[in-house]
Amino acid sequence: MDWDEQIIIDPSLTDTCAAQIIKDFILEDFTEYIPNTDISVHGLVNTTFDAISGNGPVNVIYKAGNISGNGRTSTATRNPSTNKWDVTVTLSSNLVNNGTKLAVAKTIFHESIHAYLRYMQKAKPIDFNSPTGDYADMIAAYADYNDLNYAQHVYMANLIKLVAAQLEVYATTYLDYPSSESSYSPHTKSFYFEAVSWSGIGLIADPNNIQPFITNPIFTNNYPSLTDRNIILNIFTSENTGQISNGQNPLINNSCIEL
Amino acid sequence: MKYKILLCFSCLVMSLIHAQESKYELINQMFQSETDTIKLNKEFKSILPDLDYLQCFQKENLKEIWGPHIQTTNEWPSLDTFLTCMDITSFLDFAKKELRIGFKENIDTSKLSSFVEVIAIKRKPIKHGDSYFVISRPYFNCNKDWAMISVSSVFFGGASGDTIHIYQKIRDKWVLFHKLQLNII
Repeated sequence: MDWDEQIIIDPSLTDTCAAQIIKDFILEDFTEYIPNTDISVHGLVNTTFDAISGNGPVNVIYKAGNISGNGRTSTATRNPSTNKWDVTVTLSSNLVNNGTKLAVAKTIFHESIHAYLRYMQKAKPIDFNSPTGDYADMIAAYADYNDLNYAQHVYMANLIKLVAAQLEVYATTYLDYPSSESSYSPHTKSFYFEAVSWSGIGLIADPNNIQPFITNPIFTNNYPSLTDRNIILNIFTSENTGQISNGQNPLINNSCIEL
Repeated sequence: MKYKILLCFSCLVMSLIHAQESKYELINQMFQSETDTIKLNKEFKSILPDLDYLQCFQKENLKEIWGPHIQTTNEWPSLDTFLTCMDITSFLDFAKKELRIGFKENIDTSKLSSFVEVIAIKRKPIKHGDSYFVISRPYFNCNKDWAMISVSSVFFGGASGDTIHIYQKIRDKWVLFHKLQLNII
């Protein structure tokens, strides 16, 4: 199913919430207003999706598949018929079938940031590779291990508040998540959306491959207490699986396949 | 011509003899640890996650996956050296065959070092604190001095992408030459 010239939504996502979420992310306005001012800033969702759905050198294909993890973004491969680079985002069928709509939205956003970084690498290589530019922390992290997975997740950890704020706007405006603080008790609303956003970022593959994973250094820095980190892990695990995780339930147990 | 056939035949025979031996020698050296026990999923996975990934190894895409992906002053492994030592066409035939036959093989635990533990994954989702690696059976070049093996990990709270590790045998030791990240999670 071609949906947009640059974005292709595969039939494997038909009749799931994922197809609608991708369209919302492309079409809707995610402008953020700075509280108590008239200043508005371009939201991260708009920055990401305006780029990857625009007429650039990269086409993004979204599909579902049996993968470990919640989503994955492929390396870019040359498509001789379009003369552009194809990047494929695969959402886990397990996530789409069992996870909540919030978890699916978070995963689409997360993987689309990886796709956006591929886009920037191809479309604006000078900006992308500038050691003093927007991607300075990613470049520094890449130099540590020559590992793109590690570098991109350190970069994304530094965006976590922005990701969480945009996810909150989307969930409360489009997915019927509650606006009241009390609904998120014992947590705050902003903490809950931030916790969900740490999925795929808080714990990452060990770039040295000595152990299966390490804790993202930014996660440890932001949450030095192991107890706090475990609360976050259980929040995003319950949303990703639609199941209780060490006493934590999803906020709303909705399903991505019930449209 | 006769010489070529003879050479190929002897290479095939040598491959079969040394395949098993080399496979576990590499795996044991990869996961050498003096402190922690390494957990491996009991079943080998396919070296490529699916047929889509064959195109990563086409000539026009190989540089893309080889990197560097971000400008770096770090020394970078030579793609030319790799291509001289590893026949990519044969590798792709190996990968295609695995995917088409739905390849399944259990790891032979008797051939593993004592610090590698093999586990059968029954629980989904994975429990708090659990983690393990999933590996493919390695692909070796004809001389058995270069190898490619896919490695990924699964842990409570996430998983890694699929990475192909390239090893070179130097003075009887397998040394990591480069890693190719097929995808990011």
